[in-house]
Amino acid sequence: MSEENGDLEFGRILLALDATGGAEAAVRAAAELAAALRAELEALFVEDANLLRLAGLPFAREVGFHSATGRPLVLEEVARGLRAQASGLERMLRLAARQLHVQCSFRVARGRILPEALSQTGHPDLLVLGRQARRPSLRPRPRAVTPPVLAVFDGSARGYRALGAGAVLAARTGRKALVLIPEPSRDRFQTLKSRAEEWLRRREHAARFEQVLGLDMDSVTRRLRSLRGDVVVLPEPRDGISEAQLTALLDAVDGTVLLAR
Amino acid sequence: MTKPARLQPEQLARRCDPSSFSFETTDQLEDLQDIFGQARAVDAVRFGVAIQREGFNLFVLGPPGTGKHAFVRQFLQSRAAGEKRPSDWCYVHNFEQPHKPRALCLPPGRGEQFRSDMHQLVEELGSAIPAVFESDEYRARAEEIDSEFSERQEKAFGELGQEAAGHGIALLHTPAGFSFAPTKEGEVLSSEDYGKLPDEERSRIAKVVGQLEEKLQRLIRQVPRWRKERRERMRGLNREMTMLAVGHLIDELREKFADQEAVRTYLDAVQQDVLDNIEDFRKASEQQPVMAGAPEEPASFRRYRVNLLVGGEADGGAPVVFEDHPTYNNLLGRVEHVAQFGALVTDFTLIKAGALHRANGGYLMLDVFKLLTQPFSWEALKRVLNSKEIRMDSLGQMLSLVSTVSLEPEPIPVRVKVVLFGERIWYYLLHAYDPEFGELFKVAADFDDQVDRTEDSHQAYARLVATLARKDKLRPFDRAAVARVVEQGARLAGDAEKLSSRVQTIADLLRESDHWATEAGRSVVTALDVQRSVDAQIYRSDRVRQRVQEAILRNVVFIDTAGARVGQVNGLSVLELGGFAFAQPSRITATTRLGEGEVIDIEREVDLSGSIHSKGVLILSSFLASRYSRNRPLALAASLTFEQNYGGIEGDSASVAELCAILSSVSDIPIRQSLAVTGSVNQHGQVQPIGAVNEKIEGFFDICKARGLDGSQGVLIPASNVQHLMLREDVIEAVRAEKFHVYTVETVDQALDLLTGIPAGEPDAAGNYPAGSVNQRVMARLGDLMARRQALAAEARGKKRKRHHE
Repeated sequence: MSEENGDLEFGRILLALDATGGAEAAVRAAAELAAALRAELEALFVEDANLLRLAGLPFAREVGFHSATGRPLVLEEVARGLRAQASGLERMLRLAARQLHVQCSFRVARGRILPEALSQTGHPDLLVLGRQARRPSLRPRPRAVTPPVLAVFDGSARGYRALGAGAVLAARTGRKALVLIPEPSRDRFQTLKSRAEEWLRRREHAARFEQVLGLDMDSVTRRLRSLRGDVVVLPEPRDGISEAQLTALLDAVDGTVLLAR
Repeated sequence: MTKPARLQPEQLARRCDPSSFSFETTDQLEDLQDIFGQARAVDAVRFGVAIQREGFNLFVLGPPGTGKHAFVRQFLQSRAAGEKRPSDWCYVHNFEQPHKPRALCLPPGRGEQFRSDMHQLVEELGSAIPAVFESDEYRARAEEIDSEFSERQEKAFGELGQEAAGHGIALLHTPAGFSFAPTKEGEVLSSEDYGKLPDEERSRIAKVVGQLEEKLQRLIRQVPRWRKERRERMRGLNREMTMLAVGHLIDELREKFADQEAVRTYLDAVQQDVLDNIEDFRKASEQQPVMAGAPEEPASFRRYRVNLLVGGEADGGAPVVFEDHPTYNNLLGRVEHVAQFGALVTDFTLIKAGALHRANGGYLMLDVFKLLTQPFSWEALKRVLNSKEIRMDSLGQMLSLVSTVSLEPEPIPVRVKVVLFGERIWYYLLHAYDPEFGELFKVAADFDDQVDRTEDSHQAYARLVATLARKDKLRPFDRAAVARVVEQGARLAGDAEKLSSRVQTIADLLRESDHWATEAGRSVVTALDVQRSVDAQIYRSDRVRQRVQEAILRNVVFIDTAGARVGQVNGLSVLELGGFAFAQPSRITATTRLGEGEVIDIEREVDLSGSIHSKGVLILSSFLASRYSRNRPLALAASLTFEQNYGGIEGDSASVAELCAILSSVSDIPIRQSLAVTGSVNQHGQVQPIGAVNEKIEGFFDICKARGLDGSQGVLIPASNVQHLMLREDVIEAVRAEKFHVYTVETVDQALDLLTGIPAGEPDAAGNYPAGSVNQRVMARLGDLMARRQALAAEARGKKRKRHHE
């Protein structure tokens, strides 16, 4: 049975978090989705090994994102901060899970978040990443209007999963859904749009659609950056996604990225 | 001395002969073109309306019911219909000073078009602007700018990262920023590995990290400048793209209103404001109403609305506005407020027009009494007429009663002819006490409540009856009915030689007559119906009169109609209650005694009389002294009173009766109680006319009739009141049958003749009156009183001398 005709099934959602911020929004998004899709939620908090090693060096200093001022990094403080953050996120996750009747687990690992998330065994159906961009934003602060949930649809089975997850998340959070279709051909875009609309209509969802004039991940990333959304669901490419592409995506969205597998 | 005259029946009312009319019914008569009998006022209205000079506003004065209101309204409407329709006025947002909305003047009929066009423009902008921002072109160019700056940033950070990598150092992302650390095979060196490095290497690393940190700091400080630069570029792009959508839409309006300089200036400001607030339109396309009952239109779009204050069709003539409730706000307009989230807010769309706005370029009719009784309205109207502009000042703000945000709308120039309506007293009071009044209301149109009764006016009255009957869809009146209406018109005027011009009262009489004709199943109203209507009007109103007559007939109120009494006379007073006047006979008594010439008015002593009555009594004192005691002190004291009067009395129409009562008391000659007397008297004993003579005669007649007419009863009236007689038919019939009489008197002596049956007497060359005459007996009594007074004085002097010697 193809995804186009079947129901959405997400057995396991992996939520990967680190200390860079933006984790709270990712926790909420993942918990809502897990509740809506009746999936099991597994959270992984990754303590950045490089950060800990850096903090152990005698000259370790941090230059602020916004202030541009330097301040010393102290290992004990960094380690304590990471532990506190992990514990706070765990409390938050378990509270949300209890309220939404979601089965969840929480564990802490050390390493780098993206390799750790991408290399997880058991192959989760949905990978949720929450982190901030790695550099100061050039764009204005988020607008008062709640931005739509962004979803990328390419017509593939994973595309339908991304479309469904995006629509469900939009409905759960009371937001609109905007579906990007990376397709240079206008006719092909219209075909994909019609199929997606019909698919959503059968599930009593609706969305706006927009054509992205490029099939590659870079085109999608550029459009995501200009849309200024804070949550995007997209299908993981068949040949996988590189750490660099994922980093670029996270920088572009500056919020929560969900990869449907 | 001439004898008092006894009036003949034909002198008691001036009848209107139906045969003097050439028509059968009023259907054969044409309508009156002008209002009946108001030639002077009509000329004044025509003049006042036609003259276009400063201050030539009208004050239409006169008693109610003369038809002045209907006439002036009709006149103004017919004149205004042929005049040019005035300009439309709108209020629009003032983009420079939002609290001072701008007033725009447009040719007649174009205000509505402008409002509609602006409404459509905003709707079109609401879809056109978001469409531009969703276009591929905009998206591509925005992404271009985004990419340029992102790449610039990526490049700068990338170059810094590469420079660091060249030194074996990595740029790392920390929770709150960036840091640099030496790496080995992609991993940051641990502190142990770092400690194993040679000192020189550690120094080098520390030095390089320090340099890189400085560069990183400079780079991060660069970011706000890039951000600003990007923002400027995006703003420029947004304005450029918005102009594509807005420019041609606004240009269409500019062309449409090319002849309106003020509108074009306003449209320039609108365009600039739209460009400055593009985000409002972009947000509006995404935004959902957040609250139940919240307006669908975003608040920011309201500023592009047009508040059409005054406007309408292009044709239709000048406005004629009658403001029946001339409050300050209803005259000058108001700025309303709406509650939003617990606060009162307002904007130019909540400015409401007042009567002056609606009447601008035309005519405004106001009732002066209502105007004067509304706080601040009169002053506001004068201010507008003086300044020739309508300036809306909030009363609440002016009096510091409210502290909400309010507006100062731009004043609107005004050219209006104001017509005030009111009774004469208001005109005279305003003229006397308001120095501005004369400057602002230079034309008085004085509507009279009566006209001369001539053959011509009879004919005009007939046409008035015809006009009113047709207007009210009444049955036609036959000639006898019209004649009866004419007679009633004279009775209403209280003068046989005048006709009432109170059209309202006449119209009511006609309507009621028509009703009785309907009841009787007649197709034409006859004199019987008119008479029934008159009788029914009296019957509906005369409950009090019946009670007063009843009290007299039951001897609760003492009025004699037979016999003779010393110092007692029947006077006649008139009561007016609820528009119905009737006479009540009053017993006036006088007592006299030794005194020093004073006449005590008991009513005045207890404040039950008015000043005119008091004046009448003082005149009596003067008359007594000058006639009977010219060369010696008047050794008399008299007291006068209206018996059983508990409600106060005013007027001097009883002064003849009072004088006769005093002279009766002094002379000890009784007065016939079968007669009543009315009239005022002057210092020389001449009898002067009084008012309501008809009601007075009929009042005494009714009592006498109820007790039985015996031919001795009658009423004495001033001779100069004969012209006013329009008595009831039953009174005239009684006179014709010599069962009742109406006498006219010119002097008090004539009255004494009639009342006492004894000649008053005229003095001879030596000043002596004939023996036995009333005046001789008065003189004799006064002489006795004087002698008695002198005797008393001598006795007193003797006693005083005796005490002195002792």
